[in-house]
Amino acid sequence: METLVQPVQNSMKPGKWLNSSCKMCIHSCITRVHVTEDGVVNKIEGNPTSPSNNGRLCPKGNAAILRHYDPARFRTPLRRTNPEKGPGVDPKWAPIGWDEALDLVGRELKRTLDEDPRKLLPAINDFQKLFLWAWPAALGNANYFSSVGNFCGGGYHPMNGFIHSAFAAANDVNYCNYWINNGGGDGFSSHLHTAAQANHVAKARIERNMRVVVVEPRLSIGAAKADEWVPIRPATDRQFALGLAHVLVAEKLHDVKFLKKDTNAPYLVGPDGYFVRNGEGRIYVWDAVDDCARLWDAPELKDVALEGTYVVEGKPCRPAFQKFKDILADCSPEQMEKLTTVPAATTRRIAREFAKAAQIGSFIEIDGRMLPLRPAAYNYYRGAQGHKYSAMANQAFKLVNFLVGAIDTPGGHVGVTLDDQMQDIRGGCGQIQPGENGMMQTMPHQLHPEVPFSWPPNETHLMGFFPIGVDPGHLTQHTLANAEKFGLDYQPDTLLMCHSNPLWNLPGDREQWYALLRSMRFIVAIDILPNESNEWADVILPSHDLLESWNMTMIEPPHHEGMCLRQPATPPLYDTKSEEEIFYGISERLGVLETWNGILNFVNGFHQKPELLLEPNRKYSDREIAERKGKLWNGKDLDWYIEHGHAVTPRRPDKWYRPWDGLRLHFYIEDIVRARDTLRQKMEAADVPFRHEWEWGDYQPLPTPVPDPVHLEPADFDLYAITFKDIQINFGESIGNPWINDIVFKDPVHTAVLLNPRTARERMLADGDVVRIESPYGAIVARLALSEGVHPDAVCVSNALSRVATQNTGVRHGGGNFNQLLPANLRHTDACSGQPETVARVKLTKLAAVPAEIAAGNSVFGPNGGQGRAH
Amino acid sequence: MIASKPIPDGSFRVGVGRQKAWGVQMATAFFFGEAGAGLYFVAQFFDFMSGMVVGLLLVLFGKAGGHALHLGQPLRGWRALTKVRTSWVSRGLAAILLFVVTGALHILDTGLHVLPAVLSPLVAALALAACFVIMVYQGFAMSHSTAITLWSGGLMPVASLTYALLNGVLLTLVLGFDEPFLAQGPETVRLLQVAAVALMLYGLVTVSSLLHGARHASEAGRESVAMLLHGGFARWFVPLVIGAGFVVSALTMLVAPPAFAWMLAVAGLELTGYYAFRVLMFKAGGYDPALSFAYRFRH
Amino acid sequence: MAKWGMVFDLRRCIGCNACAVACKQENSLPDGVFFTKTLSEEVGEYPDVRRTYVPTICNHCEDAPCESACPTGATSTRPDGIVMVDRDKCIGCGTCIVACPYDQRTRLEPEMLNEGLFGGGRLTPFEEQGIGRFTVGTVVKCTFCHERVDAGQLPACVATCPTEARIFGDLDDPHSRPRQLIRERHGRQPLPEKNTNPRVFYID
Repeated sequence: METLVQPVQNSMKPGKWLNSSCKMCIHSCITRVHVTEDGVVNKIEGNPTSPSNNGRLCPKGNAAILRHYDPARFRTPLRRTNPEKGPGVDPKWAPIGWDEALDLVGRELKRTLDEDPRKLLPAINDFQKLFLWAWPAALGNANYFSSVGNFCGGGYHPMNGFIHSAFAAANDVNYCNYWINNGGGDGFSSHLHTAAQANHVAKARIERNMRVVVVEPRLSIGAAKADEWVPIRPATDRQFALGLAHVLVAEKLHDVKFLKKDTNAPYLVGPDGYFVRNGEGRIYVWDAVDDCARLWDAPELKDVALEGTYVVEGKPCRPAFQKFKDILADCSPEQMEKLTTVPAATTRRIAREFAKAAQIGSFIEIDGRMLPLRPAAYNYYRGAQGHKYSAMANQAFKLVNFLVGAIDTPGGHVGVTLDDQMQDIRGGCGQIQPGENGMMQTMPHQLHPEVPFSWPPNETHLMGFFPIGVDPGHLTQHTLANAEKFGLDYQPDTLLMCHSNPLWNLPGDREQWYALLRSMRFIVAIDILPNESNEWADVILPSHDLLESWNMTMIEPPHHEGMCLRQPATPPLYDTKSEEEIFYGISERLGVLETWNGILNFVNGFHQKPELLLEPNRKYSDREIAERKGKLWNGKDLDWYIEHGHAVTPRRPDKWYRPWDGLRLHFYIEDIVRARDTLRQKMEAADVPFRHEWEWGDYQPLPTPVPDPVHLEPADFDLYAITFKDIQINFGESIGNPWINDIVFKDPVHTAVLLNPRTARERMLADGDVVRIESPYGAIVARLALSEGVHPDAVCVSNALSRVATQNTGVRHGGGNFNQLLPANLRHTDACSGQPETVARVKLTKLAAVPAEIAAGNSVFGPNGGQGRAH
Repeated sequence: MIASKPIPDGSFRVGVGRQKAWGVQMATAFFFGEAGAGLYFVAQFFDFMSGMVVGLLLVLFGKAGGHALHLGQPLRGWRALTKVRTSWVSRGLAAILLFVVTGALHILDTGLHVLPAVLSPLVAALALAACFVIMVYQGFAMSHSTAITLWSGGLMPVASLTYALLNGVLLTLVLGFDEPFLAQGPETVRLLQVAAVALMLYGLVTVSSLLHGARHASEAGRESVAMLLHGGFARWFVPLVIGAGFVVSALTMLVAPPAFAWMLAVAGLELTGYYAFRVLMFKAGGYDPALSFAYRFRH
Repeated sequence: MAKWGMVFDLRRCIGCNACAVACKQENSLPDGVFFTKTLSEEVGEYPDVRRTYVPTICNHCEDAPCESACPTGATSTRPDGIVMVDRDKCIGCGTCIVACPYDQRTRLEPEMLNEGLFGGGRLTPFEEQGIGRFTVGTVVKCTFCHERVDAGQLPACVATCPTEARIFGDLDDPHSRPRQLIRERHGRQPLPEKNTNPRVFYID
């Protein structure tokens, strides 16, 4: 007789499966969570019913259980008892009750508000509860103390707003056959719904033989899988793209019909950079057949000219396309090679291959709609666009797609909305609106409405001076250090963090950040695990984790859309609360409950369905908010979502492909010129003293090949340091999770800093040497590993080596944070978009040994370095 | 260099993986096995009582004890007897048990004549046969699997037997030096000395061939040999295994006068070399990468 | 009866090791212990350099040297080809570890089971519910997720693989997906010269 044997595999044990979604990065892959009969979460898998992640999960998603059960979690509200604050200084937490904690936070924040609401620095970074970002608005505060958005996508998001009226962008994996990836891991290692995108891209690569060309200084995962790796000197990606554009135009490989019909490329541009308009503000084009100027929509217009020099209304002018062509005259692959090091022949070949693959002139019928088929697309992200002239870089990449007509079309480069329910909120993000003169309305602000200009500045990060960009939180260091110059008439003294680690993610000198934090009268942190920043807090408000809370979200799924449910798998393990409860608790104590509910109605779009509206003076649970968000999406209640888990479907082709059909796209971005001049007028009018120093050259309607200032650093900083994440440490904090540690610190690219062997030989450096990596702004220490997969000018620092958190002993310290090599100043910030430079010029100095303070404690250099945990 | 560092040592790189399952405890057990069995084997030829006793005790406590220390679950060690059909470890354990019983009986019989005359030679033969198995099976246990190239060339059992005999001869020369069969037979001493030198030369050739074969057999074999001859283990392997174990001990034996101190010195040199051999063969054992493009690239 | 096997598509694999972590959660593996892991290898000189990701796992060999070397019979092959270790029979001698040409076996040392994933000997409820399947001093390895497979599911690593680089199925069925791929893309077994006849194939 067979004896009954208990299963040993976790998913096979008696228990139940719950539908939920992941939150180990900012995206939301659909999961199923297995809970044993004893209520222990013992397996999380991808949900196969999701057409997005197809039942797949990345390593981080697979490691969520250990965040849930991490013994380092904050278990109750905590109050600091050690008055001394500093990096690595034990706050000596004392547990307190929720009422006491919220009263304390309420009292301190009330004091701040009573003195000056601007004195609060908020750092609210929960991407799956984006509505929380709007909480400071309830206090009349628009400060922002973090760089999560702008570090990776300061120029990226506004440019997507300009070009696609969308938050993000992706190459259309459904039809693309030639995929250029420049400085981004999309489809391989990072960015949009990594597991999902890797799944779809792998299918395209293998089943459709999609060719992949990866342009990067490092042989990344994407480069390793690519058909071709094009190594490039860091911070020269824009010049590479302009080299491609040069070839496409010079060899007449571009999509003339698309440019003429679907873009403003034929619009005539005057010497002032504005389109040439008639008295009624309508824009001229040049009729190439009748050889005369006509209004863009004149019925008698025969064929518009893309090239040439004309005089209209007494102004010399050229079509926008000609303006770009003029710029491209100085962008031959041979000229660009001097900066990029990419052989001109390679650039020319890729341009030709790209144009050929784009099949200009071809069409495809989808859902009864004839659409241009352009199965070639240029995708990029952080590494390519994270530079001083970021707006220009972004536009250069977009223009390569423009030239072959591969914008928002099957197989091309397509805008990805953040959240399709957002019809007319956050400035209209997600909705296409007609603008003037037949053009689509640009939507550069994708996260919140424009912050009005003010002088003296209301915001420490000068958001009012960035009518286009993403919040440049890093500038707070620069402005507070030079408060007089920047006219700050108040000194912030309160910091509120929510799932944010600014000391980790902000560029700039650490000591200055430490000084800033020391100057805070009160710091409160809403978080799950100890990190670099919340060890400075006076009060910790512990939140539920992803296995204990409700939510409904949809964050930039590239090829899919629809709400994803998160539901509790277990009751809270500890005395924690949801973020909703916490912010309601604070709002109530500050007397802003009604305002907060009003804001929540607005940012969540509840006003679109009045029955979902939150009542002004009630507090709502995470469950209630989640239910409303689900209902807003598809009218289904929470029970439906609990049963189905999600409402994810492939993106509707009518919203995915050419949702702007009939409008013209912005090949030439006049709005950037207008934003510059409007800002200049405001600064003149207010007599802003630093207006002459403002980087006015950053605002360009078309990209130029001018080198980023990082190339102009002193010559003895002879190498370029870059940092990278891979799929195991994608997005937020990952190190410290034992399973992630177990795979990351065994992966050779994450255990040491990578250098090309030839470069090392020239500098008498060897594998395993300990070096100081020094930039003009800061220094870190690292051990070298030599790799042939590194551009000879690059020093590649894994983000796994960037952590220095001390209160969480699972977090291994690298030799310092890469970000301290970077400047946090205006000179290296794109005035147009707020993007800080993310590449550092560095020199390497060999050290005899790892400095004792760096090797101490829980360091990757310690006795246990990189092998298992240090306890 | 990430691209060329051949030994990943726990990191997730393709390369030759170091064998770590069998270490010093296992090497010590092997050492006592081939020292004890070798001694017993030679001693039984000379009816050298204390040699047989010491040999048996070395096998019983040194070898079996070393194995017991090594086992993860020593209390169920008896289970290792159940797979003699395919497993050399199992066969070895059976041989040890048989040897301990028959060897002890033979010793008792030699001293006290406890066995009936008809059984006496049978037990002696069985003891000798079991002893012989112990002298070679460790080599078979190592060379049976193709996993570790350094071990799998086929010369490992030859090395085992050579070492065992050599150990036996030298230990007999030391322990039996004042016994009548040696004290009164200088020609026997001479014979054993010559045998020792011959075995040393034979051992040297065997070990050299073993390394030669491994080096050309696979990537892992190449790395293993490199570790032993120029890598981290060379400072032990060359002076101890080759130098002390074979060359110096053989030269010393050739010029040694028949004096106890000299025999002791040679035995000490040789056993040191042999122990180093046992430890280093384990330490330098490596697995081939399951799939390596670099390897294909080079060949 | 099916004979289970796996194909690794080297073109698909991105080396993310989601497989390794999924395996850890499914099988409650201690820190540093892997039933499957994906390695990387760089070949060539800049700029002509390639990095390949190579997933590794117990090959469930048809002629499993671990099985013949095991002195206790603890290692045995199920009728469906899955090579198993009986923890009640294993004595932890390590013979199978040195007999496996693929370095896929681990002996559980006391500290592996006692330390806990977060160190300090404190086990989380997750570890407490899972660690009981292990006996200290015995040898463990991949079981192709035998219980999941018995229940008609895919092994955890296969189910989670973002790029579907792991293809699992019946090698006796000429129409199975792995067999098809082995045929069409010339699947090869790892280290064929070791004469183990693995049930794992690589395609590139």
